[in-house]
Amino acid sequence: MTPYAITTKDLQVKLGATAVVQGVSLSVPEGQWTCIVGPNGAGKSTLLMALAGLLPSTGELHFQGRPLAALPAKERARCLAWLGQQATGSDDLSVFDVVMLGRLPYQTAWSGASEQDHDCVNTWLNTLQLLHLKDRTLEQLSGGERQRVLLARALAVQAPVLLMDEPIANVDIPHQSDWLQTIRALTQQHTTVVSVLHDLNLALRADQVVLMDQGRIQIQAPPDSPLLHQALRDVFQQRMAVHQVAGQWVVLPL
Amino acid sequence: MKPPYALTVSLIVLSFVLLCMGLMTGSLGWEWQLDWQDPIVQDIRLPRSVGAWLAGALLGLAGALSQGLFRNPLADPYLLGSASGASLGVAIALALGLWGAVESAQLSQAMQWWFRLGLTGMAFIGAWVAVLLTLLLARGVEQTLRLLLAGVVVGVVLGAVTSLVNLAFPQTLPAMQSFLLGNTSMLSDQACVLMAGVLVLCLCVSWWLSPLLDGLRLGESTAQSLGLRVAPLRVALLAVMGLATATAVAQTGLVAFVGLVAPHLVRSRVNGRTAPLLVLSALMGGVLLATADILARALWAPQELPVGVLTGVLGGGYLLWRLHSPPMKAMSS
Repeated sequence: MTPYAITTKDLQVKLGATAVVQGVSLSVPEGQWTCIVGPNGAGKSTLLMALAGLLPSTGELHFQGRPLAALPAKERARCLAWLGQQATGSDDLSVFDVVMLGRLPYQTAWSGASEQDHDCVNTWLNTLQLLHLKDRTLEQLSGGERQRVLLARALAVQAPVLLMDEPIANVDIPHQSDWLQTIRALTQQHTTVVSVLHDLNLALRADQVVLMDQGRIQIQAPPDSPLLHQALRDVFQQRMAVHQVAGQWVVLPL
Repeated sequence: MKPPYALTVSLIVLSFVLLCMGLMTGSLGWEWQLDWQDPIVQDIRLPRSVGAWLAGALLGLAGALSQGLFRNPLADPYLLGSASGASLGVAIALALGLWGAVESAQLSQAMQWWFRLGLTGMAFIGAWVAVLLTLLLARGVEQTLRLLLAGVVVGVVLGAVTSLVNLAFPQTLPAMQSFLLGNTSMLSDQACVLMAGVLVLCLCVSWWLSPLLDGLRLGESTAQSLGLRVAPLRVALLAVMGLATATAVAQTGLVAFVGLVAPHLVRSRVNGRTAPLLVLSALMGGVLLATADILARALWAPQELPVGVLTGVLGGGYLLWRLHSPPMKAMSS
């Protein structure tokens, strides 16, 4: 049996009076890449925030078998890294400082950054090819570069579970490909990755696809499952087709 | 990233130079001979110079906290209504004082208590009441916009009440005006000790809680995901900001612009963590107000300018200069 990094049972999240996520029972396998997809307003981002422990929720939410709410804030931060949709930072922050903020869960106000923190930040800057931008401020970067910097920030947490909301919306194809490689490398090192993606073609490269609609999970299946393809067509109003091209599943709008 | 030691040391040295200059600036202008035994130097110029520096430092720190907490470079220490609250407190104290002077014989027990509290105490209480009112109206600290709007509401309403009190007691207007402009001429030894204590306390607590300000630079949710308990930390830092502002305002009145400008002057030289920025903003605020205080005494001696007029002119000039220099882009976004 695969161990699960995160499990939920009958999870419900309310924003104001509306239940944006309801009755969600989900098992995120450890060391795999799980991708949440669905139409706009399906509750994907809300679910991801709830999984990160950033929104109050009812129902069961367990991290590695323990209730997530029981974890102290700092420990939770070291276990679950979260990268928000359209995340941004103060324009005057330098790239290095942004990534260093990912090390905050390991620091106190009095200690500051350790040697280890510096090494970690430099490693991720190097991996994501950002080392040459290190001293630039965020306002001097393009949208795609910013997104990679914020990704590096989330990676610098070095958490066993990485939750990302639309991490590559503004990223060009070569960097999307780099991103896929990074994700593969992470899962090989047994990091669990959960992402929300609106690009179905990229989503179908994941190990597990979770399809959401109107706050509920329609199906959770591997990308080659015919049931998943059928559910995708249903949720997207029969206006797309799923084909296999060169060994990869692709979605074509009709 | 190397901490900005050079800037820190130069601000400290500058502070001492300004202190010496403050001791040598009298009501007749600059004096080359400094007589330590002179009671005027010991009892008036010393507390005044030290006090101006301390009040400026408190405002600089409060300004840096405000800008960090509200993630807005134009935020200042008076944002949560503390200025209007302090004004109302002073207006009431002046009105009571006037009334008390006329009818001191029949002063009731309660009135005597208020009377003894004096201008400083009333300004302090007024500032705190206004901040609490703002927090109450905003129903907590979760929503930045609601906090800002509540601050505006409290400012406007308390301002209106202050005007009403002033109109009812027109004799208090000159004293009121002096408070509104900011005034460093009445600082005492006790005020200095009090402000120094509050400054040390506020600096320590805000350094300790400063990771929140670091995390907030990436937005509230990200700060939370980094293990920071945003709501309680924010309340604590707002309390520190309120305490620093109320203490300074109670002693020196509404000194303009120091809290807004001081963090800007040091921000471009500080990278990385926010904690050093807080200390440097305090040092810079002290230097600014100490400078303004000396100029206020010397520029037009023997006539003394209200220090608030000088900080207003200097601060406004600085902002105008920033407006026309390229890095303004970073400020406006």
